[in-house]
This record gives sequence, structure tokens and C-alpha cells, in this order.
Amino acid sequence: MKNRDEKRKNGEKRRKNRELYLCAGLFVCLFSLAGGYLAYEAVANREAMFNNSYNSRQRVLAGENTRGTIYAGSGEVLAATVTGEDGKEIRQYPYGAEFAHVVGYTGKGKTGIEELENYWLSNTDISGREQLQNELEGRKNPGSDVYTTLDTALQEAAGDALGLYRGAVVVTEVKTGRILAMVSKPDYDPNRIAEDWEKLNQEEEAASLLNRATQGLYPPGSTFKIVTALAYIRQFPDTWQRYQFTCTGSYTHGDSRIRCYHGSVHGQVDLMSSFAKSCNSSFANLGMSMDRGLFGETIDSLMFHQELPLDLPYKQASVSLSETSTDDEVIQTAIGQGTTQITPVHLNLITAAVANGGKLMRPVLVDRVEGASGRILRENNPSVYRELMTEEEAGILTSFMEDVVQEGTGRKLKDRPYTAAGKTGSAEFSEEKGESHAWFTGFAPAEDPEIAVTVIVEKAGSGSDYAVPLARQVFDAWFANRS
Amino acid sequence: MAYTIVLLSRYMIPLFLYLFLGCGLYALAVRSVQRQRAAANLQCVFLFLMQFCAYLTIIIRTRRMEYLLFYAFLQILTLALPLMAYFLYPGLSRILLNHMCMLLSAGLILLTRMDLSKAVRQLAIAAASFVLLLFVPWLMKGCAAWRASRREGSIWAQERVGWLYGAVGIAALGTVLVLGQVTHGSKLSWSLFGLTFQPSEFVKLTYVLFIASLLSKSTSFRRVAAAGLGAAAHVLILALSRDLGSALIYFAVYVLMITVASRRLWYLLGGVAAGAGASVLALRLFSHVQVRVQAWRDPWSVIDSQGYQITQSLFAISRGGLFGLGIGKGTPGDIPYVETDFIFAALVEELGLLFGIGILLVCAVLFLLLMQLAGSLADGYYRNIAAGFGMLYAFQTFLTVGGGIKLIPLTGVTLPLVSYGGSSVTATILMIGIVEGVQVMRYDEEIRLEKQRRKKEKRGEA
Repeated sequence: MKNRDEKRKNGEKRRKNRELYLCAGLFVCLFSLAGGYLAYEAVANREAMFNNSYNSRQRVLAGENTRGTIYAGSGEVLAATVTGEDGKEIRQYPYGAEFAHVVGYTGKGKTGIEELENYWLSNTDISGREQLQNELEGRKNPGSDVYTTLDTALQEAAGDALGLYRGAVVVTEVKTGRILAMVSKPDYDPNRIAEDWEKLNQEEEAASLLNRATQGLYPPGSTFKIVTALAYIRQFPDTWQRYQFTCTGSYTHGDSRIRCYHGSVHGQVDLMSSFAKSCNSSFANLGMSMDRGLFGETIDSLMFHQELPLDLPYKQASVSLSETSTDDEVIQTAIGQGTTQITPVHLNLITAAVANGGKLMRPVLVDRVEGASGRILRENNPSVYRELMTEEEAGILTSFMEDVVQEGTGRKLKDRPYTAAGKTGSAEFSEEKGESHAWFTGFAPAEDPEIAVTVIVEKAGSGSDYAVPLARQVFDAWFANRS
Repeated sequence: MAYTIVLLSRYMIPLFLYLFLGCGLYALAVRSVQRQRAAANLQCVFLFLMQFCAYLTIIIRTRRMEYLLFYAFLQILTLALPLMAYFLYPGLSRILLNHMCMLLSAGLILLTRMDLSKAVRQLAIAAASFVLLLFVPWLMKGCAAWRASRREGSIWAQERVGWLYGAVGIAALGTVLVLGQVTHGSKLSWSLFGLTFQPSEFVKLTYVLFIASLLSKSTSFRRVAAAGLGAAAHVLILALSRDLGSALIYFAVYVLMITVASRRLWYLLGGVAAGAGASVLALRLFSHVQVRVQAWRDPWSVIDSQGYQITQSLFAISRGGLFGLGIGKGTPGDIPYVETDFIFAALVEELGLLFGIGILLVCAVLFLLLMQLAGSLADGYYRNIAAGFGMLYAFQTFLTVGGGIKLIPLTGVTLPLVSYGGSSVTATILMIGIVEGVQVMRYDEEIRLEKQRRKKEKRGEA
């Protein structure tokens, strides 16, 4: 009896307070939401928040920790902080200008790996006890060290090869995506960045501070024929072998007319020899015989107008081709002229994908970050980023690119201890005839590719004369070390 | 040795906070008075230990003895005064006072480390307010007794007194609007004898009392509408003063209070709809709302101007990590108005994410204590007061914490008890005082009933 009474009373109370408890529950939910979001904000984007120049943490840490060291793949020091005679810390770059763009500088802001890995270089991983001890004894804590994938021998070879030319060289390991060398010229000495700052910022054309490898947009010229050929193979998978064209040295369609380089007449060509001889007329014809939408799809599948899996700042490649493009635009696009633009590193990634059976490995510039206590704080293992093309398509393109070296415009790479494959390009960049950037992009050994090399030499002339020999020096340096 | 303590205190401070919280949750769950008392005693121990660790760290890091003195006074405020209150009123909720003291001392740790003079001021104001708090239950009991002695329907009837509260609030806010000085673009304060008051902090109390009074006997639509009229006057004046954060709080409190008092859920639904409509209108009308919304949606694009505060707050939060940078190791001063508007971000920076979430939980438990009290009361007036204050507190806390972490747009309201600001602290302590008064009266009533029951039993036996 009493029990039932109590139950009824409780039920009544619950009913009476239903809205009260509901409001209480509502606020508990809001508080949980706030707590969850707080945790999210505190953890997500920590590195980006740290690197934001409005965050004072960097400055505070610079006073507490000694910036970590940046190493090359085999342990050479690329950047280190040392204490000078006056007790002040300075950042030293033992290789001077050689790694200027990829390693970057500090002092006038940060660039390159100095910027990318700033979070780890600035922070320390030693224990709280040691940190406190250092704090009280007036010592600084050691920052974490960054081990890059860069190869000093290749970087040196690439830099020497470019010499006084303006341009860029990118070398990657195709099976792992490791970036082995990245050179941009003209360069600067990061040790003297503060002294040279004004001068470097005043120069207009040279733009020494610009990393041309990732941020230099160039017309791809004939190297784009890799893309055009792939589009054609995709559209005519069964009949491309039977393609025939007779080159008379030029191609005319309506008002537009293009010529083969140096006025060459290539005669009877199929797809492979069109590619090997870099026959503009034939490729213009290929472009006109393709569906524009499908051509555009192939272009997009190679990451044009898209983000690259690259941590360094870069420019996106662009092509203006759509269903509504004029015939002239299609012809210009097919031979890599017109408004088409690409960065050397992007072309290198496409080349590396061809060499790796169509699979593009995610490019890796930093192998690992190691704390002062020897702990590995972050490791970048090789991983597939995307399959840019099928293995079969990659195989066909590889055979085309081998033919370029054996029979075509890349013959200066023939008869080496290794078999190379690649594509040359001579990109006209102004209305004035004769001025062109020299391109080469390729890989070796053709049968089991190890590295992909992309070279651009500004205003040098033809790719076969000026870019191929440079690439050869880089390949030579790589295989000299191998044997 | 001392260094080990500094090192350990990084972990001990959140640990003690969570132990404190555990006791709070336990007290919330159990009915037995003895167990609640035990939990309250334990809480005092953990509160003491937490403060001890924090101030030891500060003293070792700075090697300055003035902090020791400050620490001694702080102990008087957070441990001796609540104990004194308990001896004066055995019926009051010590758990509630403990949570109040925890929030006060969390804010004071940060204030001490940032600016000792501000901390001293805050401590003095809090202590004075606490002394005022000691009188509140006594005053309330007196009023209730006096009112009970009057005839039914006298001039001192609950509803009429309610209108008095309303009139006082409207007059105070109106005066600020007309005379007040301009601070941060909103007219917020009054200067009197060299002290600056923010009447909207105190009017929050009279406002809740106003609504609670009007809805004490009846919650008919006419009553709700009458209360709505008074509420609208408050909100309108605040909107005209461009203090839209407070206007929003006042509006929300009205909607929540009528829902709970009348037990009609559709008031809440209607209120949310009306609030949404008003927000859209405010967005159209006030450029300063547009700026805040813009700074909320993408603060990074306006990092130099309107987005500066919120991005600095986010930086501070991201700097902290789980256990914080350590007291004195962060740079909370980067955030403009950090002591008043962004104290929570500073807490997370130096004491860590775990501590920040813990403080949020302390706020939640404090809120639930008020709601639990409201749920246990039969009387309309006191039930309305407890629920109204609880929801006022929770809503304001959510606004300021949510604003500081970019969950919602910034409204520029303080985090009660934690933020620096005399008016806010005094008003919140008085609010707790009123709730304690309700608690004390309920306790006295229980004792009276118990005595009556015993008497009856005795008579029955005889």
C-alpha cells in the first residue's frame, strides 16, 4: 500500500518535472558538444596552427629550444644551428646555395623543409624533467631532427649540369616516391639571406627565391605528347596501332597552321614514330581526330587543375580544353603549346607513374623525424597515391619513350651502360620564333625503372640538344654510384 | 625536490580537479545527507590540494613571496568562508559552494599568473560578495516570514513584488542606455564612486526574480504574456544598447523559464523559432553582428582585424596539449581581453585540455545541482528561481565557452566566476546565495515537518 503510494508520488513528480529535466538534458548535450569540439580544435590542425605566423608559440620556442638539424638521405648535414663566438645562434647551411630552394631558409620567414617541418624542428621531445633542468640551468633544449630523402651526389650533379642556365631539375625514385634531388636556378645562398634579402627581392626576371621545380609554370611543349598519346590510346584501344599519317612539315586546318620543329618533314609515320620524332603535324592530326571531352578526361586524370600530393607549395597545371574549344585550341593543346602550363615536378610525377606501371607513389621529401632522444616521431613510408593509368597503358608509353632514346629526339642518351626512356620538348614561350625552353623527362633503366628525371632549361633551345645531355649527367651520376 | 613538484603538479592539478568532480557527481547521485557531507569534505581536500600545487608552482617559478600571501587569503575565501556559512546555516548545500569556489579559484590561478593586482582585486571583490552571500538566506527567511504574516492579496503579494523587480531592472538598464559610457562599442557600464558597475549583470538576478514571481501562482497564458511584456522591455533596451549577447541571454532565459514553469513544451519550440527569426533580423540590421558572424565562419580570412581574437584563442587552445604548457609557460596575453572574455582559452593553454574539459564539467555539475534543487521543490516561486538561475548560468557558460572555441559566434559575455570582472563575480555569488537561501528554507521546512510528524507519532503512541 505504502509502496504503491510512493510509486504514484514519484511518477507524479517525474511528470511535473518533465520539462525541467528536458531542459537540463538539453544543456548537458550542449556542454558535451562544447567539450567535444574543444578537444577537436585543440588537436586538429595543431601543426598548421603552430606554423601560423600570428601564433607567438614559434617565437617563444625559439628562445627555449635549439632548432633541430636537417639531414640528407645518407646523413650529410644540410642545415644546422650552431652557436657563434658571440654566443648567438646562427643557422648554417653547409652546402650553400646547392639545396637553397628545397631545404629553404630561416630568418626572413621560412621556406622549403624549414617551413614544412618547422613544428618538429622547433619542438623538443626530451622529457619534462630534462626540460625543467635545462630551463633552470639556462640551457636550451634540442629540437627534433629531420631526415630528408635528398641525395647529395644527385643534387650536385643536377646543379652542375644546369650550370649558369636558368631552369630546374627534379629527380624521384619511382618505386618509393622519394624525391632525390630538386634544383632550381638561379639560386641564392641561404647563409646570407638576411644580407642579400633586398637585392633578391628587387630582381624581377631572375626570381632567384622562386622554386622553379614546384612553382615555375612552363608550357610543356612536346613533353605533353605523352598525355596526347595516352588519350589517343585510351580512345582507340584496338586501332591505334594502325594509325598512319604523312607529314609534310606542317599541318593546316582552317586558319590555323602549325609546323614541325626546325621545319623537319617526317614523311610516313605511325603513332610510335610520331612520338619518337616528336612530329607536331601528326599530333595535331591526332588531336583533331579525338573526342574533345574524352581528351579532356585524360588530361584531368593526370592531375591537371587538381591538387598534387605534394607538401611543398606548388602551382597547379592548367589546360584550356573543353567540348567548346576551337579547333585551333585543340591543335595547340595536342602539341603542348597554347595556354597549357605545367610545373617540372608535375611532369616528373606523370613520368614516374609511367615508369612504375601506372601507379603514382606519393612523393616523399622527408623520410623521418627523429627526436633528440632518438625516438622516431614521424615516418613517411612509401604509399601509392593513385593509379594514373593502367599497367598496359604505362607499358605502351614506356615503349614509345624507349623509342625516343633509341631512334628519335633523345638519341644523346643512347648507348649508355643503362637504357633510358623519355620524351623531349622544345616549348615556345613567346611569339618570337626560335626562343624555346628545353625539356626532357624520362627514366632509367627502361626495363626496371629506378629513377625519373625531369629537366627544364629556360631559353636554351631544343630539348634534344640542351636538356637531354643534362639528364644524361644526372643518370650517369646515379648509375656511377650503383656499380 | 621542489622541481619534482613543479613537474608533477602539471599532472596533479587535473587529477585533483577530477577527483573533486567525482565527489560532486557522487553527491549529485546520492540522497543520504551523511554521504553528501562526506563528499563535500573530500571536495574541500581536493580543492585545497589543487590550489596548493598551483601556487607552489607559481612561487617556485617566480620566487616571489607576495604570491604566498595571496595564497593565504585565497585559502580563507575558498575554505574558511564556506565552512563559516555552513555553521551559520546547517541546511545549505556545501557541494554547491564548493563548486563555486572551484570555479573562482581556477580563474584566480590564471589571474595571479597574468596580473597579480587584478587577482587581488578579484579576490577582494569575491570575498566581499561572499560576506554578502552570508546574509542572503537570513534576509530571504525574514522576507518570507514577513510576507506570510500579511493578508492574502495585500500590496506585498508575490506578483506585485515581481513587477517591482521588473521595474528596477528596466530602470537600471534604461539609465545605462541613456547615461552610460561607451565601452567596446556597447553601452555597458555605470560609474559610481569610482567603481564601475555593469548593471546588466545584476539585472540578470532581478530579471529572473521578476519572471519567477509573475509565474509563481499561475502559469496561464495571460501571466506568461504579462511576463513576456516585461521581458521584451529588458531585451529591447539591451538590443538598443547594442549588448546583443546579454539580450540573447535574457531572451533565452525567458523562454526556458516559461517552459519549465508552465510545463508546456511548445513554448520552448516557439521560443526557438522566434529566436531564430530574431537572429536573422539582427544579422540584417546590425553591422556588428555581421562582423561577428563573418569572424566566426572564417576567422582566418580576417585574422588581422575581426578574426584576431578568436584565432588567438584557437592558437592558445592548440598550444596546450593534454596537460598544458604549465602555469606561467604560455602566452595568454596574446588574446585581447583574455581575462574577461577568453579566460577559458588561457586555462586550456596553461593547464591543458583535460583541465579545460574538467572545468566545463564542474560548470555542468553546478548547473545540475541547481536543476536538481528546482526539481525537488513544490513551491512555484522558489522552483522558478532555482531553475531560472540554473538555466541562466548554463546558457551564459555555453555562450562564452562555445564562442571561445569557434563553435558559435562570439558574444562577448563572461564565464561566470572564472572570468575577471567585479560585477559578474558579485552577481553570480549573490545568485548562488539566493539559491542557498532556497535550500536553507527547504531544509528548515523539512525539519519542521519532521518535528510535526514526530509529535503526531508521539501523540499516537500515547
